[in-house]
Amino acid sequence: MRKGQIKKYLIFMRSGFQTVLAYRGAIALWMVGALISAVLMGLVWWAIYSFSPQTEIAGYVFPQMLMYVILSAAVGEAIYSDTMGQINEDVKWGLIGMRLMKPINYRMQLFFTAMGSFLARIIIIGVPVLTVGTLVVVFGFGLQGIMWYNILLFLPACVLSAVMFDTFGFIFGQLAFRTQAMFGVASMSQIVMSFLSGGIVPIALFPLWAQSVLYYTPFPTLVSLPVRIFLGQVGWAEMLIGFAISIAWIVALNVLAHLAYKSSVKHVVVFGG
Amino acid sequence: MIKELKLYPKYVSMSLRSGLSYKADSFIMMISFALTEIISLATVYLIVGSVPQIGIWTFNALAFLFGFTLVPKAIDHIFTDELWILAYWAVRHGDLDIYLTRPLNPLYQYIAKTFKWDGIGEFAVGIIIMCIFGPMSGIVWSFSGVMALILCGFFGIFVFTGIKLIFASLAFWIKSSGIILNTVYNLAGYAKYPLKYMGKAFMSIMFYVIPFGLMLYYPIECLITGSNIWWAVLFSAVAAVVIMALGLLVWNIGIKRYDSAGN
Repeated sequence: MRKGQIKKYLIFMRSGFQTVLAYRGAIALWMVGALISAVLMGLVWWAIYSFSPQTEIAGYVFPQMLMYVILSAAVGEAIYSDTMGQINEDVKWGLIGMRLMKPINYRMQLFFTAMGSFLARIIIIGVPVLTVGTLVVVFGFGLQGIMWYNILLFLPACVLSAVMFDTFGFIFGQLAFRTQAMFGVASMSQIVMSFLSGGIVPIALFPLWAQSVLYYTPFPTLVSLPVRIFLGQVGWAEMLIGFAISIAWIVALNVLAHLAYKSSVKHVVVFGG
Repeated sequence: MIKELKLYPKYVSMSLRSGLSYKADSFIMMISFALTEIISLATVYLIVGSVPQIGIWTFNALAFLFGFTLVPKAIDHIFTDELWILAYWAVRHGDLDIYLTRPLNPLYQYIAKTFKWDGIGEFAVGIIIMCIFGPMSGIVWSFSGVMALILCGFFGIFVFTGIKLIFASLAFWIKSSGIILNTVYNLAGYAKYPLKYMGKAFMSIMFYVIPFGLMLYYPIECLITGSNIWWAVLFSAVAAVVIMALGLLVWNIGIKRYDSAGN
């Protein structure tokens, strides 16, 4: 991309950032909802640990599991991108016609908007939630093993996750050209992705065969990898491999996204003029 | 009342016909709801599978409880899904004007408008899970137990509807209450875990404040421990009446405050 072009797209990034700030109340309320769920999952785990013969379940002691549920909720909220919803709106209201006519790459426009929104979410949700969450779990429940470099490395992992999530959003968003049931597609794709990426329970709890299948998919790098990096459970070698796998999947998924988009544009029907 | 009942089939047929023009879409929605619940059950399996037993609860018993929680939820979903629209958009968009001008109860018209048959996916998953895990749950089945459970499920529908009505009607004051409703509604999802062991505070909330625990979790606990489940029926009935009355009250006060959205 030329310099002027990057500037053009940075405007979308700013708009994504500002949109999040404008809706900060609503987004904060979603976060409160996600945190309540995390605390309740913590209670479920507390019940489970109190009946467990061992102190460790799937390699997690209780404080680690508690931190896991808080982190996965925060990562899930922070990397969330509205790309799928945006495509749906554009197709439903016929705005897609205007979008395609402008000398702007539609995918890039959505991507930069999503990145702007990710940045704002990290600042207004990620930082406060993780600070308070970590302090509570470390001092209140005695969590050990979190180092400053874990937290530092957690950030690039989250960036990769946000890019990957947005790519998935763009791929599933293509269905908006073909069906009206995007609410179903959105909720289904989100719950499936969240489950497979370790966003609901750690992947280490899955049966071994499922774990080995999952490691051939992009999902473990989406939530599980950043969360485990934060918890200090990932060694250097594994981390490097994890980042490499994540980048490789992002490239592959973007090729797929491009092909899917090329085929959907042929379906576009816009009424009126 | 008779007029309303007579009109209801017409509303349903209207809703079904408009739904039938998007057959594939309704099918996708149905699959999506069913799949969401199956993943949810898999989650329970993974969590609970990490220990042999949680007090009185085995995985089979929890799976049966899980199936039971889906049934009243699905029935409420089929009949009153429009309340979500009220919570998120209807007040802000001024969509309610039309109902206030017709000679019929506005709440009835509003709710009757949508008949979500795709909720049948959820309902079917619930019933199938109950049929699979019922015999394995360790519950000693009797005719009276089954009757009581059906009654609890029936009252449960009204607890769902009432909670939705209360929190959706908040939109009359704050324009959009969808996120709050969503958070409260999601509490129902925790009635499928062994509340008994999740701390006194949370259990009290789920029994006395937002009574999802009382009408979803408690009847099954009675069946497992062998206590008298008819207490659960009685409590559920009271909860259903109280919550519905509160819902209607909030709606009635709220609708008086309703202003159109202007242009």
